Amino acid sequence: MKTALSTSVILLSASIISFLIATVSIRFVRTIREKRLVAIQIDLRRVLIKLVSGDLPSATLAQAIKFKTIHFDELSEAMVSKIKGEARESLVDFLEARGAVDGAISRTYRLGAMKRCKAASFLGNCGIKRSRLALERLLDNRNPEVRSTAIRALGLVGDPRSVEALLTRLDRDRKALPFGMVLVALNRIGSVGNRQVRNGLDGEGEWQRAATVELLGLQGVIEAVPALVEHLSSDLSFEVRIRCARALGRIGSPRATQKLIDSLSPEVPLGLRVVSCGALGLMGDPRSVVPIARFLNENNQSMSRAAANALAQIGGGGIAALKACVAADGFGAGHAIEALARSDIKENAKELNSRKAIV
Amino acid sequence: MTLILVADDDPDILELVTYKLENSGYKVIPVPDGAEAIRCARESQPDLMILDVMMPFHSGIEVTIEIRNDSTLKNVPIILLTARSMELDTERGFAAGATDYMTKPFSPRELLSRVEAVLGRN
Repeated sequence: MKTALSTSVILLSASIISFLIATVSIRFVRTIREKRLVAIQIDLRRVLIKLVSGDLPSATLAQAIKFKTIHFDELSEAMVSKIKGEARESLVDFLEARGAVDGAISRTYRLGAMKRCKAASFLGNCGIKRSRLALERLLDNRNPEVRSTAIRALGLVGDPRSVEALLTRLDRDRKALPFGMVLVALNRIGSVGNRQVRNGLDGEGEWQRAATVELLGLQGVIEAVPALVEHLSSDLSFEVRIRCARALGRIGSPRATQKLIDSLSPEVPLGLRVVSCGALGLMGDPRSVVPIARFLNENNQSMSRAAANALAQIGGGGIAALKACVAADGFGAGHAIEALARSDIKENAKELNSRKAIV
Repeated sequence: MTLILVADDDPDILELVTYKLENSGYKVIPVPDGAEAIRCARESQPDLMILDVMMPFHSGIEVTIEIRNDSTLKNVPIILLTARSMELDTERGFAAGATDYMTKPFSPRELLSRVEAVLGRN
C-alpha cells in the first residue's frame, strides 16, 4: 500500500517537473525567436529605408530582390502605405521585382477570406493598375469584408476603367456593396473617371444613377449641370431626383436656379422641396429669396425650417425676409429667429478669426 | 550642428525620418512617444521638432501646447506629421502652435524641404 502511494507521488512529481521544464523551454525558445525576429526586422528595415531614400547600392538591391523571406514583404507592405512620391514608387518597383505583386494577385484566387483581404489591401496600397481585374472579381465575393476591401483597393488603384464595375454592381444586390464605400472609392478615382461616371447617368439602375449624381455633386462637375437639371425633373426615381437637387446646390451653377425654384412648387413631393430649398440656400442666388420666403410660414416644420436656413445662407435679401417674418410673428417666426442667430454666430466667428489673423 | 527631435510611435516612420535627416547633415534625436519627446526637448533644447499627432502618453498636439508654454522652448518650430488630414485637424494643430503640418502618407523629400524652409525662416 505504502509502495503504491510513494510510486504515485513520485510519478506525479515527475510529471509536474517535466511539465514545468517543457513550459520554460517553450517560453525560452519563443523569446529567442521573437528576439531574432526583431533583429531581422531591424536589419531589413534599414535596407528598405536605404532603398526608399535611393541610397541602396545596386548590388545590395539585387541581393535584396532575391532574398526570400516573408518578413521582407511584410515590412515593405507596411511601409508602402505610409510614404508617397518617389520613395513609394521605388518601393513598389522593388516589390514588383520580388514578385510580391504577382503573389498577391494569385492570392486573391485562394480560399480563405483573410488571405484575399490581405492580398486586396496590399494591391490597393501598391496602386498597381494590372491588379484591377483581380480586384473587380472580388467585388462578387461572398464575404462582405472581402468585398469592402476590394472596393477600397479599387479606389486606391484609381483606374477609371473600374468606375463601371463599381457602379453597375450597386443595383445587382442592394446589400452587396455599401453605397458610401463605393462613393468614397469613386471619389478617390477622381476627375480621371468623370467621363465614365457621367455615363452612369444613362444607366438603368436606380442606385447607379443615384451614386453618379452624388459623385458629380461632390466633385463639383459643372459640365454635368444640364444633365442633372434634366434628371431633377424627369428621373423616374425619387431618390435620384433628391440627390440631383443636392448635387446642383453643391455645384452652385446659376443655370440650375430656375429649375430648383420650380421644384418648390406644391405639386412636387415635400422631401424634394425641402432639399431644393437647402440647395438654393447653398447657391446663394438672390433670385431665390422671394420664392423661398413664401415657405417661411408653411405649416410643415421641415419646410419652414429649411426655408429659414436657406434665407440665412443667402444673406442680404434673405436676412431682410427673415427679419420681416420675425416682425410679423407668424408661424415660422421661431425658425427665422434661430436662423438669424446662427447667421450672427457665423458672422461673429468670421470677424473674430480675421481679427486673430491681424493680431 | 542643427539638432532635430523626431517623435513617432511607428518605428518605420521614425527610422525613415531619422535616416533622411541625418543623411542631410542634421543631428537627430528619435523618440517613440510624447512624454519622452517633452523630456528630451527640455534636456537637449532642439532647433526643430517633428511630432506625430497620435502617440502614446501625450499626443503631438499636447506636446506642442506643453512646448509653447515652456519659456525656454516656446520659440522652437514644430512640424506636425500625422495621418489626420481633415481641415479641422489641421486647424487644431495650428491653433496649438504648430509651425507646419504634414499629412501621412508623406514624401520624405517633401519633409526635408519643409524642414529646410522652417529652419530658414527661423
